[in-house]
Amino acid sequence: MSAAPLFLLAALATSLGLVNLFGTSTGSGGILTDNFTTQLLAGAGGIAAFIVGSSLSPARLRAMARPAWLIAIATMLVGIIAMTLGQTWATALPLPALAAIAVPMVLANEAARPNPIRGPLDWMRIAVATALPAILLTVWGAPGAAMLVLATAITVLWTAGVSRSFVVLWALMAAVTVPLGIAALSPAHRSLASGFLTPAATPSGDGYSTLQSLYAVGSGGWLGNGWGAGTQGRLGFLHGHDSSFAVAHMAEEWGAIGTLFAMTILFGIVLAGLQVAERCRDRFSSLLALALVVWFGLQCAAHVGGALGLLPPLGLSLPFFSSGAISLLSAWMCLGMLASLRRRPSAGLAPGAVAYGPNESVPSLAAILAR
Amino acid sequence: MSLGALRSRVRRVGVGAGLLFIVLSARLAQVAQSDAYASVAVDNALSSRHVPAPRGRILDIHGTVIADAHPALDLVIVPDEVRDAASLEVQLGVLVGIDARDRAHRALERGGNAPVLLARDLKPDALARVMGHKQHLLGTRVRSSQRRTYLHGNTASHLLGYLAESNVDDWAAGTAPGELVGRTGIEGRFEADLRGMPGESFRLIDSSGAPATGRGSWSQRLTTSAKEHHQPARAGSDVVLTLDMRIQLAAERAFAGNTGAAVLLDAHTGAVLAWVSGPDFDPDELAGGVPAERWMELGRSGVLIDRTHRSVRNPAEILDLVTAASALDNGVPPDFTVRCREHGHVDLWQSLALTCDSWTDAVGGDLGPQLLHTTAQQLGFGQATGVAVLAEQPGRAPQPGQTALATPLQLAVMTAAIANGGDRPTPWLVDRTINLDGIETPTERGPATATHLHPDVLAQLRGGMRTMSPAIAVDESGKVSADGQLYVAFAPSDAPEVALAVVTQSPGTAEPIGSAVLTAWQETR
Repeated sequence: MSAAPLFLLAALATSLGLVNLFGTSTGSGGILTDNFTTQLLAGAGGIAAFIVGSSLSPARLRAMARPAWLIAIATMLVGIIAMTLGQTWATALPLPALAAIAVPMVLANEAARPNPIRGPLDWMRIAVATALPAILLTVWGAPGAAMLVLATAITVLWTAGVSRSFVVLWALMAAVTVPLGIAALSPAHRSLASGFLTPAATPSGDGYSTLQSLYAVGSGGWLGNGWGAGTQGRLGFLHGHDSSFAVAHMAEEWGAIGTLFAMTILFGIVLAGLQVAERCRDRFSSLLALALVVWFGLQCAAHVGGALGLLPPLGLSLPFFSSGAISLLSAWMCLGMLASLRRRPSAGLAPGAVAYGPNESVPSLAAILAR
Repeated sequence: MSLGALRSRVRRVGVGAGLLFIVLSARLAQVAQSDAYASVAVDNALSSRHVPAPRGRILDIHGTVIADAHPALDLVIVPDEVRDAASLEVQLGVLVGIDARDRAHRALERGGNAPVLLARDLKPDALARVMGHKQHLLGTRVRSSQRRTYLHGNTASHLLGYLAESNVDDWAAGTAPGELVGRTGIEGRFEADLRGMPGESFRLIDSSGAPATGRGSWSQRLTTSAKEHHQPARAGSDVVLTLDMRIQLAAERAFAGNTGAAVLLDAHTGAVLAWVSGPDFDPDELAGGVPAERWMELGRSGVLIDRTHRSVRNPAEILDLVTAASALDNGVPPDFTVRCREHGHVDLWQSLALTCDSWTDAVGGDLGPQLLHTTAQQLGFGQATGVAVLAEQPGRAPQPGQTALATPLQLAVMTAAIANGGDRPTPWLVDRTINLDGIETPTERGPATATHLHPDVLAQLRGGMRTMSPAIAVDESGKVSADGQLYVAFAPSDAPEVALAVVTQSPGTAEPIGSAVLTAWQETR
């Protein structure tokens, strides 16, 4: 089994994302904006992130799970404190991207035992591992990422064989806390969450973003207006056309068919990731692959659903397509990790076993793809 | 849980992912083919601009232009786009004028995103100042509009009417804020014909409303759409009056300084040849919009009242013609004499010529009030004439305890009925409209109403009126009131063509004015 399909799908998605972004980024003279240039560099850096991710053995990944989680939680706390103190840089911290790696790792680690919850302590451990990042992300202003934490946790725990009653309880808790979390959000986020149901009722208020996104998609029709011919984002009607509404911008220019092609690529990544999860021969690897791909897939679905008026547009980016260097690097890193898990399906069977020794060198990209 | 069971669940997650993909794809297809969303993205980026239609002209029967229109540039303010109100007001005061500053102040107090007029028809120097200081006047715009010009000043001002700035009701009917709308007279009555069909042009904007800059396929797409949406304005129709400006101007000159009205009609068709109401007003002043205080002043002075058909008064001795017609129609011979202490024995004609009440009092008393009332009604008293202008006063036929009341227009119609042998014509002011393509549409005219007075009676009455007229240049027959404030006449005496009524508030002025009008008419023949 080769890692080449994953890499190729990611490379294709990144390329299409750059093309889509380029369509919005050219000024009157075709001058590239900083946004596009950064994304172009991040795309190149993504290959390095893929290599790094794929060089991490399952055992090393498992060993890094809790430290990665702690680093993520610490960064979130720093971000929240800095934001409270009025530091604007805090809002630019890549906390969702960090959570996209750390949370799946810690979830897979905690659920890797054949019977993950044997007593209240286990229950507490998983609750803290999940709820804490979800709460911190919500407070920091990323309720979409917080929901991904909860949804990924429920899926992973259910897959790991945690008792059904526990999963139901977990889901109920999520059902209660998510609305409360949204209610505690800033008015801007609250309005996004409430406006999507009947956007036409408040076309210049809460429903504005959803409505403008639908206009963009509707304007594109089946074949789109043509690359660079979209106006919703370029002229400022669709806020976040290069990030939280990237797919709407894509649909305006490439039409439903072009967008469906891009969605199929992303779906292909999900299927490839699930295939990795299915074929791993140890629980940790399988659950980590599942957690990574569930997060990825749900993020894609929430982004597209938000742009199409099925879900509140909570500002989630579309992996590989939305601008954001760290987000792109993070996506590549996740795929690298999947490639690593795919490469060593038997690794990690014995607790503490490592596939790569401490002195083993990082393999080349060609070597990773060939294996 | 075994690894096998875990794998089974992973597969089920895969199935869930597949279902989610199908749902999202279906929704994408649904939105992409929705007509409701398709065109809105383009509409978003196109800002429509109202293109006023050139207003139709008002011409006299010979094609002389009375009211014209020409393109103008107005300064308007959009209150919600103003960032620094205080600074803007100061700049407007300096660059445009105090009036514009005060208008801006009032508009800013009200707020809103509808353009409000600050200055109409900017003169070149003011326009240069505005364009040169655009950066200090953010929130204001220069907008193309139409300027109404009345080429003969105050002439026929009541008949022409005036324009005023559109109000909320007009906006609902499709008129742009700040645009001028006919309110009274011909301007008001024929607003639909004169205003034409406004057009709509489009420009490319971004979400902040600023012009969209840049080129590319998006720009070409929007520009193409803007061109497709563009609708040119269609000029309004010309309205051709029955008025003859040569007579009208002479009548205005003769009437100058008086309060009252003078009307000259074609005695057979009812076409209005001259229509004077005094005092008059400057329609230009009103079209620009006047402050409330000035409106109050105009209202108090009564200058806006069209006295031809909106002002009634006791017809005094002119009513003797009704008594005479009633007597003759009921068999009283004209040579029937009555003894008068002042004039001795007088017959009907002597009594009318001398303005002696003895004959009419005696005969009228014998005839009784009902017959007089009926004859007065037959001659049009107490009924609107049907002239196609707004809100006409009907006057009142004489009846016990109540004197008659009539408008100058009613007196002219009565005179026309006497002159033409018995038909009371419906006066009409507009001969036809001519649209942009040159197609002429005659206006609908009201039918004449038969008085049912015997033609011989009216012939005798005409003969009698001839004897009452002073010998002047024009062969006219008429009747003047004792105080000289009312005068009705027709001309020529033998084959009447026109009928006239003059009502003033100054003794002895009506007849000279009437004669001057008839002289002017005579000169146009």
